[in-house]
Amino acid sequence: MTRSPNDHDARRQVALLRLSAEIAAAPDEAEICRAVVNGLRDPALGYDFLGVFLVDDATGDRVLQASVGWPDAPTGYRAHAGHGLSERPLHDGALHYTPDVTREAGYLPSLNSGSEVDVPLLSGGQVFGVLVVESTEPDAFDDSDLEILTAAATQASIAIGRARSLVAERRRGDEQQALLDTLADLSGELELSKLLQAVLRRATTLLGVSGGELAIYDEARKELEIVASLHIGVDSSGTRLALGEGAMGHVAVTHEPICIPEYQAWLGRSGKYADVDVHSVMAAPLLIGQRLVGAFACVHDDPARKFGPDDLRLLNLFAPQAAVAIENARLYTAAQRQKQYFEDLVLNNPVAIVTLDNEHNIVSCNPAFEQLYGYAQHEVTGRNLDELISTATTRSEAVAITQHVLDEGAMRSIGQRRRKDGTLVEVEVLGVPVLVEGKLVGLMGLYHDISELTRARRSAEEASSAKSQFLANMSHELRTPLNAIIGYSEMLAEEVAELGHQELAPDLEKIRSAGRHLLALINDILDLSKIEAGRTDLYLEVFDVAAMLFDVSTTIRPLVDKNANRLVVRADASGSMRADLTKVRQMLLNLLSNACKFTSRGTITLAVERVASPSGVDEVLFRVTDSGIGMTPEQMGRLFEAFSQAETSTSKKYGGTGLGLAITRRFAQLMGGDVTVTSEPQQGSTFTVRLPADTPEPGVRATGADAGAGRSGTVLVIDDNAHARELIRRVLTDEGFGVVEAVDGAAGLALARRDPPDAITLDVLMPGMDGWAVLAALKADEALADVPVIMLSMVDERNLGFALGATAYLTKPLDRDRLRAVLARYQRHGVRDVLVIEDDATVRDLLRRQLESDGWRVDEAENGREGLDAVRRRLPSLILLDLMMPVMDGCQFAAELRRHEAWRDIPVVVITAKDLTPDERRALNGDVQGVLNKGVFTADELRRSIRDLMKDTGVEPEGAR
Amino acid sequence: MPKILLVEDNEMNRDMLSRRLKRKGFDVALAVDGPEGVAMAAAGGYDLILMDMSLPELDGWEATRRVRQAEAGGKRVPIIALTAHAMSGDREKAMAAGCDDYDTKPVELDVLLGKIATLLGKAE
Repeated sequence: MTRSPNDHDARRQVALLRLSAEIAAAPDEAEICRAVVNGLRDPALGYDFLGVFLVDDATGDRVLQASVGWPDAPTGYRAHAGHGLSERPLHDGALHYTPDVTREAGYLPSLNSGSEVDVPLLSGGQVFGVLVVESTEPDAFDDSDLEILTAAATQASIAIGRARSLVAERRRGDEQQALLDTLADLSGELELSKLLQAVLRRATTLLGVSGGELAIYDEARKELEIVASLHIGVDSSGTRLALGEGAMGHVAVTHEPICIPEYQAWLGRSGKYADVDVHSVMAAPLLIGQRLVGAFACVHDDPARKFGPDDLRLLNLFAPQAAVAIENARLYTAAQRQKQYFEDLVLNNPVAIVTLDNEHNIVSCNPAFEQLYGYAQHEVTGRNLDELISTATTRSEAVAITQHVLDEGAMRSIGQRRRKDGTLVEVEVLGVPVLVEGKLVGLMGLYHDISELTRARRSAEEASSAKSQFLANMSHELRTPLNAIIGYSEMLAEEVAELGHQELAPDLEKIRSAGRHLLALINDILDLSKIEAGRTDLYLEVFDVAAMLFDVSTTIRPLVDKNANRLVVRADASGSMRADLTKVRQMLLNLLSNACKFTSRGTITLAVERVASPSGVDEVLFRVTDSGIGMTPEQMGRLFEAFSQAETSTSKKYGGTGLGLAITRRFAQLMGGDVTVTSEPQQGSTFTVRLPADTPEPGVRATGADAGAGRSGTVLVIDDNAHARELIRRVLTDEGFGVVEAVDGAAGLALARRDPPDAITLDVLMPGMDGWAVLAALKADEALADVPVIMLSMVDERNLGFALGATAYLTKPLDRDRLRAVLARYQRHGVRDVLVIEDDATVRDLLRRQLESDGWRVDEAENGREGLDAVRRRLPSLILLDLMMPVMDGCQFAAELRRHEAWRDIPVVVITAKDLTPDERRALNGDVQGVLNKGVFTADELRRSIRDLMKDTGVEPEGAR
Repeated sequence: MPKILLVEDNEMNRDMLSRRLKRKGFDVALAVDGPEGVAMAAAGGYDLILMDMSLPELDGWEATRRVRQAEAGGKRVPIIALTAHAMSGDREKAMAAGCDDYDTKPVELDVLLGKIATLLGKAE
């Protein structure tokens, strides 16, 4: 190029300055390239073609970024790797000058076929592009050109390098943000193990580290457990770190992140990483507020790389997000586990469980339910439970239970339900309301199949009943021939005597005596076996003790006389007692006959005494004392055991079965008392029977053992008389039974069919369908034939009295002793004001005289109204009340009396007519289990009768103890 | 001569008891089962009935009830229940069914005679 050197230099300088300015002003790579070619395109420099190629890393092609002087060459033109002169700097990083391109082998003919300069663009020792400058003339470039072009290339290299790193930086920032964003998205991943792996993977990517670990904090053990590990040379998952141990243990304590430049030189290192090739370590605690949930650590395995402030800043961004994600997952996992736990409980439960919504529709059921009823869950979901498994007869009961559970709370019941195949199953049902946050969302039904139990109970009842029947039959079968033996021998003895054949009499007497002995044995064994079987019933009644003793002494007289003994009976002021009369008699006869047997020409004393026991209960003591052979202490030891007489020889000499004392003692114990003995050989013996003056109802004691084994029973009361229903209801509910009432036969039948009760009390005389017709219908109904029925004839006054709250009753004609006993019972602390309300002047007069002679102060009234006036005038401590009276009858009076708070507790003794109507004696049909004639039944008897019936069917009142 | 109706299905018992009662001066009529007993009682003319309770088909309890039903307010003939079951409750059951007294078999003749005498005395 021919120009003056000075001018040339000056223009070059200008061109270079302009180039620098343009490069500096260029905002990005493309502009820089353009600035380079534009800046060098100066007529003063005389270059014909200028172009900047950058290397495409992927292909190695040189891609044209900007050019001048070559109108056809588009931006983006590719010079392929391995072709062209401009590739040379790529291989050696040096400037290449070609004075005459036509001489070069690799020359590609183009429009500038003169000289060419190729200058590398370098950054960090790497060639990333080429500045190509051509001239149409050969040898057009001198040294100063090469210098300018080198300077331009250097400036362009720096500028492009900077622009590139700016882009890279920007890109890296975007990536980090994206990573952080996806970390937040991780919160959606709730399966803890997957989440932890994902968190760790992203964290290592984000931080550009080689590996890392994630630990969660075990609050209970105060340890960190490594739950995820990535590329740290070992799989450390499951490793546990104490607080303070290693980098994560350290940050768990300090709650601050830490950067450790050289782990193996760090004092706090854990021996667990001794074999791992780690150098620089960074760790951070994972905290929610101040609460530690875990820790994170990351490592560089390249000794050259260290963690700096930028890394810490990133870590601080990441840690809280990771903490929240982990905590969420942990809570969710715990909740899932709990849910699974409860689901398993229901799923594997042997009890059939079904859940319902508030509309009684099935929400879910467990396999036991499917098995019990034969329905699959998908068949029942959404269906109404009670429509599904109840029958026409149990529908209303089932619905009532469901509604009760929703309205009132849990309920237990027993009944029949229907399976899918139509068969019925006996179930125990427990309904429980389901509350979520205090809000009723439905209910849960639990069904327990009790078919087996029911069957077992039924067969036990059958066995028990068969045993009783056997006992009864045995008794009958054995007695019938004995009857003949004893009877004919007695008869023959009489005939022999008449005919004068006295020599035959002793033999006949032996036959008779042996027969009697056998009979006594049978009786005793029967008694004993009944006691053992628990089938001995007590029939408690109030009786006069002196009269009973008189009766007993009359009976025993022949035996007393036999051994020339004397009998002394002391029964002064013995009063009355309530016990099983037959058994008391039997006990005393046993003791007396023993005394007679073992005493000869002596005295036998039967004495009675009333005492208060230490527990305050009135007791009656019967003493049988003899002056006979007596016993040694050894003999007394086995006295009350069955089949044991003091000596085996004794029975030969004295006779007897040896069972009498055993039976006597057990009878006494059955009534809440006992028998004791004192004796001295050759001096005689004293047997003492101790009995409560008022024997408690057997049910009260006897059901203790099996109370709770049964269930509450329901009694259907069918009676047209409201008072009668009231009476029966009161008695039965006191006993813990459920009572359902029906006002006539038809209603009763309907109720019984809808919901079979455990027992039915049935009035005989009712308008419309009478008791017998109802009974016949009940027995004809297969479902009801087994329900025990207690027939009650018409309500009498006495029970009306009870219904109205009377405390006792007396029957006319009045028995003086009974009157005295009843009054004594209700007398209050020495106050003896009695009000007699009776319209019959004769009865009133008689009562007044009797009462006054006993020290009572008597007020009289002719009817209920006068009675109320009298009560108002002076509060009596007791009222004797007739029921049938003019003006105001006893029922009205009692009702009125009970309305006044102050009068309510006054004991009222009702006086009723004793005679029974023919109706009350009415024939009863054999289907009736219990016969209670209202004319002779008391509340106690009703109670006991129901109880006995229920006992037989295994049903117990809820409240029984 | 007091007239007694003995309702008893067992031939030996019937024979034995009737012979012994006859010897004691009673006029004894015999019924072999419940229906016959009820029919004979309804025909009337007896001062007392001895009723066995364990009769086949129509038992003594039921027979007693029917006798009482048939009397319906008319003359009431005393009935003594005879039972081989010395079970507690039989006495109460007999009374409830309409009997006036009760005795167990085999009878002790003196005891039974005492009861008969008492009831016949009351009836007069």
